[in-house]
Amino acid sequence: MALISLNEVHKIYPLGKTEVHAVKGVTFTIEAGDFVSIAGPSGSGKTTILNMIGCIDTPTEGEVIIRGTNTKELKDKEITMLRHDVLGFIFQNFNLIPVLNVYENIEFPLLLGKTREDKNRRREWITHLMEDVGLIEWKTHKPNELSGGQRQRVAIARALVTKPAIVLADEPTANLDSKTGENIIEMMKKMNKEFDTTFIFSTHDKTIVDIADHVIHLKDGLVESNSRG
Amino acid sequence: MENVILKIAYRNIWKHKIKTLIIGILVALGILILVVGNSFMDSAAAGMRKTYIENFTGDFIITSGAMKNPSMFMDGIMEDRDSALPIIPREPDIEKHLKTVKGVAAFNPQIAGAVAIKHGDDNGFALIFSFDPVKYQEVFKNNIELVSGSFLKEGQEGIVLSDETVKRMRESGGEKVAVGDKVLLTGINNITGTKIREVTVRGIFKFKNEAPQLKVLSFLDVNNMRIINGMLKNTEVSANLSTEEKALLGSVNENSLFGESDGGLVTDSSSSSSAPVDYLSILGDTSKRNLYRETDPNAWHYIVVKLDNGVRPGKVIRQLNTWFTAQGIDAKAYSWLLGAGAIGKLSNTLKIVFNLLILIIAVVGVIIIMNTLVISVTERIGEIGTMRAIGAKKSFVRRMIMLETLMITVIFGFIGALLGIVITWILGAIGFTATNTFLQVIMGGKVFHPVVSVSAVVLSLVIIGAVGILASLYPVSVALKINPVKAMGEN
Repeated sequence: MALISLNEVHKIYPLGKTEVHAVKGVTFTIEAGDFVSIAGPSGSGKTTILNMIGCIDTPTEGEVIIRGTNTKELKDKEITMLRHDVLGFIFQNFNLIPVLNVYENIEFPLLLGKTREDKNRRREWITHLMEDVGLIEWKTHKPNELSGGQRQRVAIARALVTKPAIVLADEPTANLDSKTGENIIEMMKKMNKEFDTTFIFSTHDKTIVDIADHVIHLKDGLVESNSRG
Repeated sequence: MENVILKIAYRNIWKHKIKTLIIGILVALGILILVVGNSFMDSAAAGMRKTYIENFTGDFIITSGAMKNPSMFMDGIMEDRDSALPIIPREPDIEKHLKTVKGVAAFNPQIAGAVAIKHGDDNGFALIFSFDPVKYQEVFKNNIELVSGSFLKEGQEGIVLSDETVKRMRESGGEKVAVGDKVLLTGINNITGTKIREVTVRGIFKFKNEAPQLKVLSFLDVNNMRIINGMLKNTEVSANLSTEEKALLGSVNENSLFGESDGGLVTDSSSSSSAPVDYLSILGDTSKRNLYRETDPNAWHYIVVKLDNGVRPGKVIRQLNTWFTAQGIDAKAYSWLLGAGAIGKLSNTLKIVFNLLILIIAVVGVIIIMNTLVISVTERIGEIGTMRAIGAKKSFVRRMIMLETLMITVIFGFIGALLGIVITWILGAIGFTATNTFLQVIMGGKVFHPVVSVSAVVLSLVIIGAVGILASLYPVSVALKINPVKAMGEN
């Protein structure tokens, strides 16, 4: 069974008196451990599809199935739990909590869950992640004291801290220079291998698309190509 | 989780210092006004209560059930000048019962009235209380100070004038009324007509309490007060006429009395050569008429009751009113506040007005705080959306926003309450001088020393909480509507 399945997914947004058909019947599957790139130009529906996989948006038609569960059938609390337990997010604008430092930002999702890990084990795990993303010396710094690349590395560590099955990254390199962007994708790839976490990232940057081993090309809300490397 | 909410709330407050300060100053100012204002009001009310209970009304009063206005002050006594103040029925029975009521320390039956006073060219006016002097001093211990002369003694006739009344009389004519002088008292009411009594001034006194409303009060012996008020024996009994007397009245009509014919009642002395008429003997034996002039020793308007310390007046009042009903006595017990009349209720009315103003300030405060918080929430759409996206439940966001609001309101509320306590304490220490009679009435004296009111501080704490919770409701609902998808596009 595929980790994620999208079946004939449509998304229509109302825009004043008209409607925008952002996704027009998309079908694909993603297997566990995949390192997936959803590529395409602006307006092709990349972010909309990521939002629907991330359960922060719902399809107008069709179904999104994660680990065999149709997300449309879940209640608000169940969706919140799914987002917390199964999914990790990396945002284009990093979206760190400005009043928390690096350590606290990474720790934050752990404090939202029902189960609480032992404090020492939690500290060890966060320290390990900080070492992995190269931010151990910055642990007490606030987000506004970090560069864009450093912020995105904090976001990666935060996305992985709950040991999710899937990490979704919406244009994670869009606000970074090309070299830093490449480093971030490399780091994500490393984490993909280390923790066997499925990474799905959207991008319109052709140079980083090739790093992925599963590339889904979108155009005008439709899948143009779906290839595994 | 609570730690992280607290951490985020605290750091957000610290991060948005200006906004925090604006809201904080508003909260502190509101609470400060509340504590100082309510302490003033409570101190004034306590002062007024003390003034009345210790000098005027006792802990509660008893009147006839027919009393239209139980106020013992001018508004009650002078309310209906076309009918006499009703007398307490079966007063001796009530006195007997009061002696058995638990918690009653002392009681004093009283008569009230108003008189014009004349002494040569000096003129004055006084509100009069008449009582048994011994019982009065059992209820109102050491409440007056004699300026000259003596207080009324048991069974003694005479008047004890307030120094303020004497001062005004002296100012009006310059005759200098003094102890031992005779003064003419004219009863003012439409029931008994004009009654004039000459009485001796036994003493001049002043109340130890400086409340101006007490200064119009003087004390007259009960016998003279009853005569002035027409509180006489048998006033309610109709005369029993014999058949001959009735026949005599029947033969007299207006024409026979006031027509041309004199009816034989009046003799024209100029045309008569007989001896002068002995007018005093015309009515014959009038000794029985004196019975109708005798004052009624059981006629009283009020009984003022003093309770033992710590006894709640409300409970005793209820007990007595039940007893009156059971006994079929048309009497009623009222709280001191009703006995104090319009002036006594003034401080309560002012407190209601003040609290209404506070309510308006609180509503305005809530709106300003709410508005500022809504702006703050909309500025943090990305942050809240991110929290929701990475698994924060709605309850987490709700608690975070509420905690931020409560932290601001509680911290600054406490600062405001503390400042209010300090300011009230300082004002209490230096005293607040009343510049006019109105303020003196409200404050219960010339110099007012407000004390910090515990109830005002408690009320302010309740308001702090309520403002905090109310002000956060709308921002919370705005925050809860933030869709995690917003986090994708904002930071």
